[in-house]
Amino acid sequence: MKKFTCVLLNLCFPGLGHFSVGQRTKAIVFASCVCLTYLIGLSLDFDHYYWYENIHSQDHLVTLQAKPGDSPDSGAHPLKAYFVNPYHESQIDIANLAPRVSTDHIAYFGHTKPGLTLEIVNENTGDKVQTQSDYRGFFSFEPLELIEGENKLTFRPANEYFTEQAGREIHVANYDLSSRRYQPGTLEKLWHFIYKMVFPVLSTPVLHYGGGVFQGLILSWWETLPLVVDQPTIPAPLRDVGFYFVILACMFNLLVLFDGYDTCYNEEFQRDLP
Amino acid sequence: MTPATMRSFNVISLEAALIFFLFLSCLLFSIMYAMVDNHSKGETLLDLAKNMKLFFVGLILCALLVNFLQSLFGT
Repeated sequence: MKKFTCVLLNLCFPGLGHFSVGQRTKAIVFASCVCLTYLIGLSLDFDHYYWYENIHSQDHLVTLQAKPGDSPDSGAHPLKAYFVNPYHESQIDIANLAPRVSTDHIAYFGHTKPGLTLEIVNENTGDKVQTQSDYRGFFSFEPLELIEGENKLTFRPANEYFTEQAGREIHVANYDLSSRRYQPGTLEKLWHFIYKMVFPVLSTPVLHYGGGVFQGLILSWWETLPLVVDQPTIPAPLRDVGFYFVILACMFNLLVLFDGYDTCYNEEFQRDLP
Repeated sequence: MTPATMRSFNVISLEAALIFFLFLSCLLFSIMYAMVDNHSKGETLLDLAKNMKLFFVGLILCALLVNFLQSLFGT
């Protein structure tokens, strides 16, 4: 029975099972190694809490109360970081969403999956603005025109994204399954399973949920402490390193689970010997 | 310390950063396995030292191999 309790406790937090059976040094070393590995991974891989699917469009009804032209046009919101918890927030989080506004041009900003192309469409006027989130996931739209009264706005990933460099719209992968455009293959389905089931279980609930808060706190760390010279964002190879560290943390915890079970099993076996 | 001051410290290249993370992952892996495999502190430290020695030997051999291949086929 003790061995199963040990495994269960280790599934709650790395090393907790070992601590409960008296192996305190081992427990502290295991907990430190797993936590450090996982947090290093999260500090480099900002995509960790965004699955490859279910980034749905969102509708929002906004009412313009002042007459158009009464207030000066607001410029695009400066791209600035604010605290977000990538685990808890919606897939497209708009920071300045309000049911009533008093200006006829409003610039929305917020946070989403890093690198995602987005657009807002005013269904009443047909006006559309597009943007792309930066490496942290923060984005800022150009001001969108509103008409007096109710405006139905739709926030969604931009499947056809206009780039100035190409001078035309390019097709971008869409992660909304309902549109039937994104059809994951077997390998990607396996990744979905790993993201949804293996990561939350093996990284333990404490680290999985707490990791969202940690990532929210350090989203802008690269701007303060860039590790690599002359790089405005985390370079792609280092983002991959972050992903590998997250996997490594899960593998470490698997090792901790087996070791906890093994240790308790041996103790019980020795105790039962005549 | 201002961000501008902090930026002046960022002097390492991408390769150095990657080697640092490789070293860190190897160190963590070695600590975990040494703790699992051994019961006494002395054995654990000895095992850890052996693993890290193997890591550095492997790293140097890989670097030599890559340099040799680059000299043969170009970069």
